[in-house]
Amino acid sequence: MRNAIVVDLDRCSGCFSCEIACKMENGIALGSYYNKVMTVGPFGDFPHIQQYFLPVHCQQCENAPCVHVCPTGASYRDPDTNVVLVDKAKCIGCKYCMMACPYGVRSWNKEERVVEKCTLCGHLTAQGDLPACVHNCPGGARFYGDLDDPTSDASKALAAAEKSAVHTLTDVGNKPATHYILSERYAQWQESKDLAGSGRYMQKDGE
Amino acid sequence: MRSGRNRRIWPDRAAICRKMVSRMEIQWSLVLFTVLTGAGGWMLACVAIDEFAGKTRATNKLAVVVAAVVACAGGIASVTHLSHPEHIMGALSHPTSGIFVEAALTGLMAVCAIVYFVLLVREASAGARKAFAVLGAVFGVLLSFMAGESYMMSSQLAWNTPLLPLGYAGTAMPLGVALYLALAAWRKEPDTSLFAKLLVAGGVVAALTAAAYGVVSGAGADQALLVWGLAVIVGGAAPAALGALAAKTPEQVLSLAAAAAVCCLAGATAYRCTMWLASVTVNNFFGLL
Amino acid sequence: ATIDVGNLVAAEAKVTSSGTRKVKTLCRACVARCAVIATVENGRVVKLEGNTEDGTTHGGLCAKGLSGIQALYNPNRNKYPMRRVGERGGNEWERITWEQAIDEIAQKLWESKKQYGPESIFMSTGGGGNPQFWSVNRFAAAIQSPNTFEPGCAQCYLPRMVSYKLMYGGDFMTGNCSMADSNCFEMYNPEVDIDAVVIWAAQPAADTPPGGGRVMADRRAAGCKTVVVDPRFTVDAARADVWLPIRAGSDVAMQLCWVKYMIEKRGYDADFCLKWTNLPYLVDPKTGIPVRAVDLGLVSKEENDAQMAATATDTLTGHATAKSNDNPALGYCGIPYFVIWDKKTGGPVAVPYPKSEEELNRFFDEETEAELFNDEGYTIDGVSGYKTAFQLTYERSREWTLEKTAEVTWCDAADIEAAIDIFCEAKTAGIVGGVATDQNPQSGQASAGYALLSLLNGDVEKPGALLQRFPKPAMADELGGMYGLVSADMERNRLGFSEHRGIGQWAMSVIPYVWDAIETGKPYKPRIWLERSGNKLQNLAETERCYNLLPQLDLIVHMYMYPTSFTIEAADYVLPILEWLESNQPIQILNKVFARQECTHLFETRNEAMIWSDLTKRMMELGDEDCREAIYDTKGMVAAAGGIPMPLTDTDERNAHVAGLGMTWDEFCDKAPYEFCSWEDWHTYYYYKQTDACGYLTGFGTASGKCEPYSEGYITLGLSASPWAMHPEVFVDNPVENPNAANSLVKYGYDPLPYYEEPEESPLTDTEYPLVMSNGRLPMYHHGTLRNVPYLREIYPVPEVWVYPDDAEKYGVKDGQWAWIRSRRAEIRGKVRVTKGVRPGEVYMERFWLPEFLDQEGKRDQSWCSVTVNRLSKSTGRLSDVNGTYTLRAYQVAIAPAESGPEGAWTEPEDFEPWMPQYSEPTEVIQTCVTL
Ligand SMILES: Nc1nc2c(c(=O)[nH]1)N[C@H]1C(S)=C(S)[C@@H](COP(=O)(O)OP(=O)(O)OC[C@H]3O[C@@H](n4cnc5c(=O)[nH]c(N)nc54)[C@H](O)[C@@H]3O)O[C@H]1N2
Ligand SMILES: Nc1nc2c(c(=O)[nH]1)N[C@H]1C(S)=C(S)[C@@H](COP(=O)(O)OP(=O)(O)OC[C@H]3O[C@@H](n4cnc5c(=O)[nH]c(N)nc54)[C@H](O)[C@@H]3O)O[C@H]1N2
Ligand code: SF4
Ligand code: SF4
Ligand code: SF4
Ligand code: SF4
Ligand code: SF4
Ligand SMILES: [Mo]
Repeated sequence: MRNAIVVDLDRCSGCFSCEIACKMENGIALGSYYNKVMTVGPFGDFPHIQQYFLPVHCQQCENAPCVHVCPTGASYRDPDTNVVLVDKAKCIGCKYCMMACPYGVRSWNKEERVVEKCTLCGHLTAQGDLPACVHNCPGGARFYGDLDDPTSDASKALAAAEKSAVHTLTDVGNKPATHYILSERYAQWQESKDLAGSGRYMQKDGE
Repeated sequence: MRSGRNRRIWPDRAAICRKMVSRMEIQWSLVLFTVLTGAGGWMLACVAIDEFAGKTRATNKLAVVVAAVVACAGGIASVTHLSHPEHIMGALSHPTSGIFVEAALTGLMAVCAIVYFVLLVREASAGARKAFAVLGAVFGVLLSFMAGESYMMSSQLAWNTPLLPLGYAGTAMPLGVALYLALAAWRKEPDTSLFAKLLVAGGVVAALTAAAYGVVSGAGADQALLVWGLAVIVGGAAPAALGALAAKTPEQVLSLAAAAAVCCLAGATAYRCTMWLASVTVNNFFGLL
Repeated sequence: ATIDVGNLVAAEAKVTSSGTRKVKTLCRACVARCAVIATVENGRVVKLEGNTEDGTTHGGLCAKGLSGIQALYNPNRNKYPMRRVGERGGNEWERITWEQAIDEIAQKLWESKKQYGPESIFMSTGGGGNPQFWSVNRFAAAIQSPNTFEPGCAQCYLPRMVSYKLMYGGDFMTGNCSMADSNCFEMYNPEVDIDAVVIWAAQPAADTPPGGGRVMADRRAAGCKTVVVDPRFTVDAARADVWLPIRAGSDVAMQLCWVKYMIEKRGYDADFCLKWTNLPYLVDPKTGIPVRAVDLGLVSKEENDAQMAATATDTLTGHATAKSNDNPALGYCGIPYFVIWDKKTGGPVAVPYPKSEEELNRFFDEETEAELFNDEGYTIDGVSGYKTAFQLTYERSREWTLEKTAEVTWCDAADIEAAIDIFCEAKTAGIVGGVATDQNPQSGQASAGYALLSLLNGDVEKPGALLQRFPKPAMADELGGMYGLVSADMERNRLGFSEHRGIGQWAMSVIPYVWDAIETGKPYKPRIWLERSGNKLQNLAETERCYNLLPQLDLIVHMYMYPTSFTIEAADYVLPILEWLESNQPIQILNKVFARQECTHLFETRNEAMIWSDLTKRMMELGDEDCREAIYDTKGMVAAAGGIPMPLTDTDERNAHVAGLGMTWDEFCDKAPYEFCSWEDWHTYYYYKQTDACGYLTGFGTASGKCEPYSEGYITLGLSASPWAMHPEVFVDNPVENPNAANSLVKYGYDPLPYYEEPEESPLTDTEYPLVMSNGRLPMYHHGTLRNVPYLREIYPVPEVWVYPDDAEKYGVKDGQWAWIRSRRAEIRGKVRVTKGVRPGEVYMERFWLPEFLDQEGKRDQSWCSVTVNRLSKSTGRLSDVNGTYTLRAYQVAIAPAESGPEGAWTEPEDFEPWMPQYSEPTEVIQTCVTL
């Protein structure tokens, strides 16, 4: 079982709704995130330039570095759903998992002094609902489900996409399960490791 | 053991300078932890060496106590950065984590040191003594290496090189030796030249390993002062020079060794700070670390 | 007490309810209306999510909508009526009761009306997110005040509503190109193909993310090609087949180029243009109006009158109605015979209005062969210079070659060509025209340009066309303006109406005329301002001008949900109104009617309609007979004009909305969403081909019954203010002069064809202020709203100014640093974003204000002074001839580095902590406080 979110960047309009839906649903502190929408570009030669948006959250790595480094087992893979989660009661706040996450998508909860991250909205999916960010996505760009189950929304979205349009964030052996769809007719996918910038704006190398 | 070792991504300068600008903060407690346990480990190594060389016998009892105390202080320092130390026992639940390995090696090293100390006090057989001295030394030196190895993570482009733990071990080496040498001089050992020479070697190793990591990680260019000024010159070249002097002027060993220890402390600390500041993750989207 | 973040008195719980319920309601955090399901726990709204029953959003909800809870429970909401005790600009207030507030304000209104007349009172309202748009006009009619204005209106939507109504002649509310204003229903029909969409000066992905944004993604995925005409690389531009990075303000040149190219390459819908537009008709060389056959003696008067009378009796068609059959200048009534030049006979032929398609086809395909173009023109009865409307349209476009257009618009000629090809090659194409072209003095021309292009392309009422007349539900989302009470005096005295008659469509005033009147006292002095929207110091042009005349006003009342710069700088009274989660309104979405229903009610906030009712009632009690009429309609004038008198209670008001559905409000809420028409029946295509009650084809609501790309309606509007003046006789004697008369047959009336004028401040000539300034929506804010919502401010804490890399280098500004932006009017600061996302030579900024300054003593004015882009815009000089539009975009600025941002501005996420929601218990709804 590989529960994950697939984001169709051909449809994503960078509207921040998934970010807000997530913060409202999970009551996340100001300055912290489980999900954040990045802008990539524009890059290329004016006026033939390209740009896309990249909503990022825990990528549900199959070989999750955060779980490997966690000394207490607070970062763990749920035996029932295979979802990578944090058991805040076990967390000692050593932040190794934050260092180990290749994407920096874990959050420090200042108040409780523990690490948190996207839970794939397990409290909603357990009741058959969609994650908040998926349900409310104005672009109809987010798909949730088990990638090993071909009938899930996420699998169907991937199956419908051209092979060359399916991407993951730069994989350093952690095998992110989250997939992004971006067709070349809109923009050239950039390896996430080649992206740099400040705040929410990211550029590819050399721009 | 840990993920992603198979694919290594060397950071390039451009990437380091242009990545999301949010520097990781220096984790002082972890800096202290690795410096102090490293120093203790390498002091034990000196003790073990002397078990075979037999030049500074009178120093070993004191040295093993000091080594244990220093390492303990390091261990305590490491706990101070945890926000929920009450859950620390949970750390024993996950034997592959870096913290577990470090804690285990620290424990093993301490046990060997204590046993060795007891054997010394009871004037037990030389064979047993030597065995525990060597064991303690192996754990100690390994700890100084593994403390750095914990940071080799596929996500951390500037950390994910064996040069990083080599530097951890390398910069701890002259510190441990200098401390041992100082104790030996204090105990007025007649012949400290072996350890003075070892200090020279240690200085050279520290300088080389720190420089190598500095170059490869890109930190050498980014934080030239920390890497070249402090880690390489003050923490490596200077103790090597002081060691050479000490070998030639036995009457000044104490002050030279003490000065070398201070230099090494500064160098080892600088080296570790470099690591924190050099951190380049594959991505740091939230910019929160 | 002060109105500030911590705010006033603790909540007074009056209602306790328990349990968890899910309420189906509708968002109104922007002008769109997306269906929402709110989870309400013990009277507290705890969760919002999109409702999948909404056929436009499919359950999507945008960042603004989802933030509804942080807006509703914002600690600095206006909670109680407040009266200022200190000076304007300060923050000293005392709480008063609603009874006191209504009484004191009504007294002052009545005094002023008695002493200076109703002209001394003026109202303003808000453009978007305001479910009580027309209630201001209602109140104006009640007290006989001529003046209501709105920062949108001439600057937003009205120009497009005017042009489409006059040229396409479809439904007044829905028959136009503005997707952001919940139009273009056909977009949301997955069963039909739309081959191409031109997104012109609009950004659906930001202006309605769950509706327009989503449907554009759907359309592109289904193979629809898109063209985006925008100086910025918007979300939709990034997905477009062709992006034309046009220079802001040069759109009409581009439109005329498209017209020329279409005509020359025959890229228009020839059959539609021939049979269903007025393009083949001959135009009178003296007036520029399409000539009537009867005037040339081509049909007898009897024959002509017979057709006019027959086509006039129909009520279904939407044909514009008129006061007089005799005077065409007073409007039209019934459809006369027009004239074509027939190649077969080599002379003029009268065109009958068709009774059937067969008849229409026979006439144009068999009996005649209409000549469409002829440079020489025709001589009839010794009068030369007759030309077809098509010929005149072509002549107007002729100078706009690809090369010249490329030069003027700063686009690439090959790209322009590629864009036009996409538009013309599509079997069905649509133009989504946005607000940017409504925001400079060419608004009348650019909005006519959109209609002209759509009509040439024949994208009308066929499956997939965006211009449709689908059935409407028999309910009223708003109660309307009581236009039966609008007197000739009101229209005569309405500021700017006589000069810019397009504004009459919304019965509003032209803003700079209001300023002039306050400044000069001419033609009279407005003295009392009732304002009921957000931050007028953000949304009106040339903010200083508005600010400077505040001291001249005797009384200013602000009705809003939370304090803004306007509250602090201007208001004498603050009246708290409902957030959308507290309000009720029926709303049509496609073939269903949804209910916006109150989910809770906080403090003493009130439905604004009731505030107007209460003021009307109190003024009546004080002796205002006009108000008595507005309530009791004793002369029946309200009802005669199809209106509803001022409701006496909240319940009356709600029931009135849905009375047409044969339900009470409560019954309706139980049924909502209520399908008023089946999906299939709702999609009635080719409305114009139906046969009407008199046996004629239904046609379009124009003078010719056909679409009018050559807009006779523009001419008539300028002659008589028809069809929107209630009293056209007031205007007939002073027709407007066409400012483009030198290049037109039309000397009086507005030009029937678009013409291009270079902006007064133009980058082609301006060396002091070298950069063009433009604006555009942000997806997380709506106008001036939500700047106090923590989750949204953390995303976008301060306004960005976008600068192209080369320009940034040239003017020494750096990415992420602050800069000064200066125009001839003022200077402000913005945070620089260096990006290729804005075209070279242009900068972009969106409106902003900083509520955190409101309670920083000594710095309150920084809330608007520091960063508000409208301080730079322009309310003087050239206005739109048709609509009175001033210049919000496409004027000149300069940019230079600044040392820092405004000190005291909140920029870090944690700064916004004081605005995190503070929950309070629900309170009882205050229905009315003046009972009769
Ligand atoms: N420079 C520049 N200036 C512009 C524009 C631009 O693009 N650039 N855009 C122009 C346009 S298109 C527009 S429409 C205007 C908008 O300018 P305004 O009309 O001044 O905008 P708001 O007042 O923010 O919008 C109306 C407000 O009504 C509030 N509201 C909701 N419910 C109620 C209610 O029951 N009663 C009352 N009284 N209010 C309610 C909404 O929250 C919203 O804040 O700005 C114009 N000004
Ligand atoms: N999120 C959000 N949604 C809104 C609103 C809001 O404030 N926020 N306001 C609502 C209201 S009242 C309105 S009127 C609509 C408006 O919605 P839109 O019509 O989409 O208006 P904007 O995004 O302001 O402007 C559209 C585009 O015009 C471009 N532009 C600027 N100047 C020019 C020009 O001279 N020519 C051309 N061709 N393009 C130009 C801008 O770059 C921008 O991308 O949005 C509605 N929806
Ligand atoms: S909500 Fe959907 S469209 Fe909006 S940014 Fe997130 S993924 Fe993109
Ligand atoms: S993305 Fe980061 S937090 Fe999520 S599973 Fe992978 S390593 Fe862990
Ligand atoms: S911070 Fe918490 S979750 Fe992360 S590695 Fe340490 S104990 Fe595990
Ligand atoms: S799945 Fe839930 S927790 Fe994860 S990003 Fe989406 S809303 Fe947030
Ligand atoms: S677009 Fe957003 S703010 Fe506007 S009505 Fe829809 S959900 Fe609400
Ligand atoms: Mo608007």
